[in-house]
Amino acid sequence: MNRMNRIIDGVKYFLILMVLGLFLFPVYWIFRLSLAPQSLVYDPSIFFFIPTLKYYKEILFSRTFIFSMNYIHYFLNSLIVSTLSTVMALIIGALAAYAFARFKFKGSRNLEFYILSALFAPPAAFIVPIFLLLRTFGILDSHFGLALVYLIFNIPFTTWMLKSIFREIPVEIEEAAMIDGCSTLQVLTKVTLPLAKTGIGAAAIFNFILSWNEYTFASVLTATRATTLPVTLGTFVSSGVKPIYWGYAATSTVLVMLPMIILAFIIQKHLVRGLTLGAIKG
Amino acid sequence: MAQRLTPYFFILPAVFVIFIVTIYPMLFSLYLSFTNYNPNIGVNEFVGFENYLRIVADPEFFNAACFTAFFTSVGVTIEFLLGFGIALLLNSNLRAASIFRLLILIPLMVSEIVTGVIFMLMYQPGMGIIDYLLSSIGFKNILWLSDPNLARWAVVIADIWNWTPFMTLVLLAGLQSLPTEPFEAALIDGASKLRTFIHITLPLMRNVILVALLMRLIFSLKTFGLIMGLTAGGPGVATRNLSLVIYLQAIRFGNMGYASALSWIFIIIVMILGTLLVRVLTRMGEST
Repeated sequence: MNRMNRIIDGVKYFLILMVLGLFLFPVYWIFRLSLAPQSLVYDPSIFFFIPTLKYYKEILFSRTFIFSMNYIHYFLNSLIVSTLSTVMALIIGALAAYAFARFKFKGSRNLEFYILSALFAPPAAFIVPIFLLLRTFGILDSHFGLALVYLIFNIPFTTWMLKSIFREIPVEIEEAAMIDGCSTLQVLTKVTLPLAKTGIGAAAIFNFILSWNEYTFASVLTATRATTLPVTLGTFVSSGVKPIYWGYAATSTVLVMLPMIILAFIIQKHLVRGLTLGAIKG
Repeated sequence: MAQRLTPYFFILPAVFVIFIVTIYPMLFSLYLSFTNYNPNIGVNEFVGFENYLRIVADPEFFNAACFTAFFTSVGVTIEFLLGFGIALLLNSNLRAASIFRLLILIPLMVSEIVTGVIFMLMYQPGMGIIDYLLSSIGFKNILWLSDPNLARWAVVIADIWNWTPFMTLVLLAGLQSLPTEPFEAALIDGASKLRTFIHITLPLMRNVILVALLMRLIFSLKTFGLIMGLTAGGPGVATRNLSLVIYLQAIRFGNMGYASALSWIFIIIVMILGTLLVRVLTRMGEST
């Protein structure tokens, strides 16, 4: 029996390693492309080679880089837009989440779903009216404009995620603060938020990742000033990608995805809760 | 009285912002869908239901609807089956399970457009890694991105890579939150593993499965960056989905009126699925 179990475990390990191999291969390959010298780009049988940082150097520091883009400018745009949207979503979302978690009021369920429904909005179906709307207010191609649009998905995610987090905090602690004379807003800021800080941190990182990765709106609503990193990747598609550009294309994708993979590892435990709108704890 | 209004003050900012960024644009788009507004050629007249009638007869819309249906149904089905399989593997008490769980989430953090570009590089004919590996085992000259049928599968495969980890993580979390008593009872009764899975695991997982499937359906319909990065809708119109058709009509041709009518058809489809998801979420909220 013991031997049987060991065989079953062995089969399981084998299957898992195969699955992992398949799922991690594209990421490995793109790292390899970004580090391999031009002559080794096509031959996967060579595992060990002296990596070159040529592509990283050119993309990060050279303004005469092949697609003449100023990488740091786009990187800062991504950082500003994602941070701005995250902060706005946290403030607005935390207030709403607190009301849904702690109060019974008329229409609360309908309002909850009204907020949630924004998440279903297909970006492509909104590009026309939102493009015209931002143009009217003169915030087309601006950090604020894009960050505002990202609230479409950041507010619902934050509200639902924080609602489930707030509900886990024992209500007695808040009631004690109430008796001490705190107002509802004071209870939220001085008692609830500090207690929920891990969850709020996770929600913040979650929002940041969603905003950083967004492509559809960014490609339509920005031109030069507020263009974010994912939009620059479109350049490689339209350029038809000749093999001499592969190194640059690979390096650019690594630079977009690597920070997000690191952030995801940090909030690993809260990821499922975020992805399922607080419905499954993970 | 003031106490009763407190929750409304708290949700007011959220309600207001959501109105500005979704409800108002939707109403605006509804209005535009009855016009022939095109800033490129400078027309803006009321045309009634003309745009909607045009959609019915538009072969490009039909093609995009078919591809969207193919992409979503095939992709989500495979992601679900594969994701569930991996979740079951990871749910056993293997020693390294937590490391595996960490590594499997990597593709999920890779954005759509990045996934598109990664696979575009891998699918390149001749020297791309996929072609290289397939030729080495005898499958030569498979033109993933220039054969329409293969291109459709190429997009689906990239999507499966990107989103299977979502299914795995959600279903695994569901599996780990199941109560242990029914399984102990089944063990005592001597039920087989397959019977236990069908009669106990699946019914207990029903809501989790529904949430996972509905969320993926909705996100799958919204797909845009993946296709832009991988095929940009090509070859020809083979991999244009509804999102791409709207984008091209609006941004490339300036047909804002027609694109708005297409948008409304799209929004209605997604809203139906969204309503279903909401029902399941409500049920889960009540049961906890």
